[in-house]
Amino acid sequence: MEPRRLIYLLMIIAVAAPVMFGLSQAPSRLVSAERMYSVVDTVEVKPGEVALVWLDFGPNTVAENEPQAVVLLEHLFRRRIPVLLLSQYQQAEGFLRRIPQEIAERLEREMVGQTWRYGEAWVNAGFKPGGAIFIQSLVNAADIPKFLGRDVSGMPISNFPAFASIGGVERVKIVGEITGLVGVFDSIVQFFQKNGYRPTLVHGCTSITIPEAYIFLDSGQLKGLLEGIAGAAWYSEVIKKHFPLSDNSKLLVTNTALSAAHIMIIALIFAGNVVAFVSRSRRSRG
Amino acid sequence: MNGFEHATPGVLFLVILAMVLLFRELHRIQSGYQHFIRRIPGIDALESAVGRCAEQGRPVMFTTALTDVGPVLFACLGVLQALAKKVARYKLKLVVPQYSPETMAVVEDSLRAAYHDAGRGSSFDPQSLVFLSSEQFAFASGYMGLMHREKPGAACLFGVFAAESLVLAEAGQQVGARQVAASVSPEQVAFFICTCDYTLIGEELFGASAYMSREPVQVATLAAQDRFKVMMCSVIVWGVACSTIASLWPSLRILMPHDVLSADWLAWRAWIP
Amino acid sequence: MDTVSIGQVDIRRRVTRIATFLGGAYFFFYFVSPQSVIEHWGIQEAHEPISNGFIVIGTMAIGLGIINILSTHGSKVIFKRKGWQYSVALLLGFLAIVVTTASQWLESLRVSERVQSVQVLGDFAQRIIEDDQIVSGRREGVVKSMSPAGALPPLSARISALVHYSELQVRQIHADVARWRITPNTSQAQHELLNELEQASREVEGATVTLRHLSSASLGSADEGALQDLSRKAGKLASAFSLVMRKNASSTLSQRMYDLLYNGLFNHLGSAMFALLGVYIAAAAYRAFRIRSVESALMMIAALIVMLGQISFGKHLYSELPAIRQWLLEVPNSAAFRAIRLGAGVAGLMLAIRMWLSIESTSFSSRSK
Repeated sequence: MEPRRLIYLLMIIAVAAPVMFGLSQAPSRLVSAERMYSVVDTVEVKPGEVALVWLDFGPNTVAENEPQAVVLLEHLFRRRIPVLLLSQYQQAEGFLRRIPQEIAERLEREMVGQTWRYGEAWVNAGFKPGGAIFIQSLVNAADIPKFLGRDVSGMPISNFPAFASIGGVERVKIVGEITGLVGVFDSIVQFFQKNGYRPTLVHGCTSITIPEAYIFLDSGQLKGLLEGIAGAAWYSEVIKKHFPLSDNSKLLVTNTALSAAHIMIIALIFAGNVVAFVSRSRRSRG
Repeated sequence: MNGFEHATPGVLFLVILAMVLLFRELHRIQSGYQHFIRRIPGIDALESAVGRCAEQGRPVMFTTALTDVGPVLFACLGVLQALAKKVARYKLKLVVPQYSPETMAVVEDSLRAAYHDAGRGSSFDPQSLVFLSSEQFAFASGYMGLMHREKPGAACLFGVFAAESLVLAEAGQQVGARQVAASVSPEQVAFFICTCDYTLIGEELFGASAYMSREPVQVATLAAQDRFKVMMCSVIVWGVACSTIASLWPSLRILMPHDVLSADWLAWRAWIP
Repeated sequence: MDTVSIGQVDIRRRVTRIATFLGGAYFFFYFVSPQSVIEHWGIQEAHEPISNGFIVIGTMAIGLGIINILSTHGSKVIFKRKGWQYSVALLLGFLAIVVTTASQWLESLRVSERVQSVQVLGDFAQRIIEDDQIVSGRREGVVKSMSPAGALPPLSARISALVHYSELQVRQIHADVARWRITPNTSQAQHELLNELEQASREVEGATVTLRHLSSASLGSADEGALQDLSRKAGKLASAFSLVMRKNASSTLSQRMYDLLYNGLFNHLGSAMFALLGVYIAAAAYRAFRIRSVESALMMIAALIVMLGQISFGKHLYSELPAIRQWLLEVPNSAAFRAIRLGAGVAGLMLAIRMWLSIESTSFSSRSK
């Protein structure tokens, strides 16, 4: 068998085994995720104030970004912070509908008697084109619900009491951006601010963009960061510590599969170097 | 006062400075000044790869991937034009897969001009531009298929890339193409280094265009960039020195570059006597 | 030596350059000017329509891709060139998604219109209150509700129209609810939503009955209270109705087809393509990560630390590995990335200035074709 095909097979086995057998390990402690939890947990949000969360991902990065969106929204829902969801990536439309609904149903099963209703816990403003221009206009809007207009089903956002009195951007206490490379993270960092106002900005990124996101975390522009699936896994563990009935078993299995893949790649790098060293020695001898 | 923190007199000053530098360098280059551009091995390798394609009778592939109309695209077009002139002279087939309809129009115009400049205007084939998809991985799978069908001898990946970069480069590896990649997205550089023969990092993409064509405007832009960067480095050194002194002697009043650049209009008015 | 050619340029190119300069100048001026200047010159109100205009111009290019697909693959099919079967598959898939998306969009438009027809009830009540307050001098503003003749209809006529419209909507909703209740496969959750909708419509019905007896020429505080009550209850009715409509829309044929094509095919195909990266990076790592020099050894060590520090296995190897990983990402990595971003940013700025001022090299400038 060609080495390339053998490598593919080994990688598939490494990733599939934990998923098929339900193997899960405790995730590694990631300081940035822990920091994000404490930031989101301690931000003071008064009545009428909201969180604004962008879900800028599509099917390509759903494996990494969806768990991040789930843990962030779950935390916001548990804190009863109203969430205004939107996206500037058209392929996120399905996720904007499905993810908060699933979280709400799961929380209602966990905490019988409590409800998380659309229009109270969250509103889906849908896809908004325009990139940086949209964000600049949003920040300058005196009345955000009026600026955003209607939700995806045509209801004016100002019809929902929890969101009607937001007013300007100063009442947005938490801003979250969950994306790979297609989102508007750079524009949010640059434009989502005013004199005397900076939101608590948190970000969920794919593993590829972790090094770049660290620039903003280090400079303080970003208050919290979820580093791929590993970040989401550790965040879910911290949630579980505070809410023991929270279920993160599926996420831990995914994270374990990721760990297995990492180990396989390290082994392959080692094997590649050994093979190269042996053939180099043979050539120099021969 | 409301406003964006970036919309300060300092930002305006920096932009005006950039413009002044650009015009100054344009004037110097046009007066005969020769600006030194260091060798970029990737570009030299590209030129030899085109020769290899001519020997083997294989096409050349050039993609701008996810680049939208903007400065990065224009930098890529500089390289594409220089490459297209060579390809036209050698009468090779050039395949240019496209991601965005808007860039396609610009790229077509640019290619047509390049073929015309090479004296082969009639051999330009509009079908060489293939619109694949505006969806990232649909584009990547289309590119892979194109790569395996056309089997180019050389592939250039210039522009803005996201996660599909590895898929594109690996496809080229599989058909044995000589690959040169240039990305302004630093996180993709790691993937290109693993899979491509040569990788241009960061602003080398912008320099490549000037390196290949040696056109005065492009060389002047490169020179102005370099001078602006030197000035920025000086500001960084000034800032580090000020911060160090301020931390050692907190009672000293020092003018920090951050304070100057981020001060708003009112603060600047207060400073002017 | 080549010089920048600004000799004889045609009209089209001149217009393009002027438009480019004006567009760039506007956004740059808007960006650097303080808010007080922007408000003083009245630019703030115009900014949103101008921005929307630019967005619309950008989306006009969507047709270019479609034209290219149809011409390239259409000609392949017509002239039976090599690989024409794949072009047929592409065109059929394209047609399927266009038809499905169009019908799903029309369905969602219909839902939106229906929801808005209920929503407008509350808006109407609110508008009557506001207009009466403006007319009686209790509120500043301009009356918006003018008939074609130019005069505001009498209050009694408006209240009568409101009552009539409210009764019509409530009757329609009752009929819809009755129809939905007997639809097979209605889930328990849907029944609960229908109960809430019925409750809300009964409340609106009650508020409407109160208004039937209003006949005065102007509104007293009790009358305003009744209208406010109707407005509030109508808002609740619209919310409940919207929830039910959304739930129902998710089970229509067009939505199910769209879900099949989008969630079932497109999403999963995209995920599968992305999953290729996992195996490709392994193959690339095996092939390319060789320790040949001191620098490559350093790179290898850094890569191992970052990879092992991220997984649970790493902390079993060495407990401080995650902390070392954190330091590597925060310090050397940030420094390198900032340097690359600064360089690319400066280069982008210079090129952007060139584009704005249309400083083109001879490669891009005008020539006869």
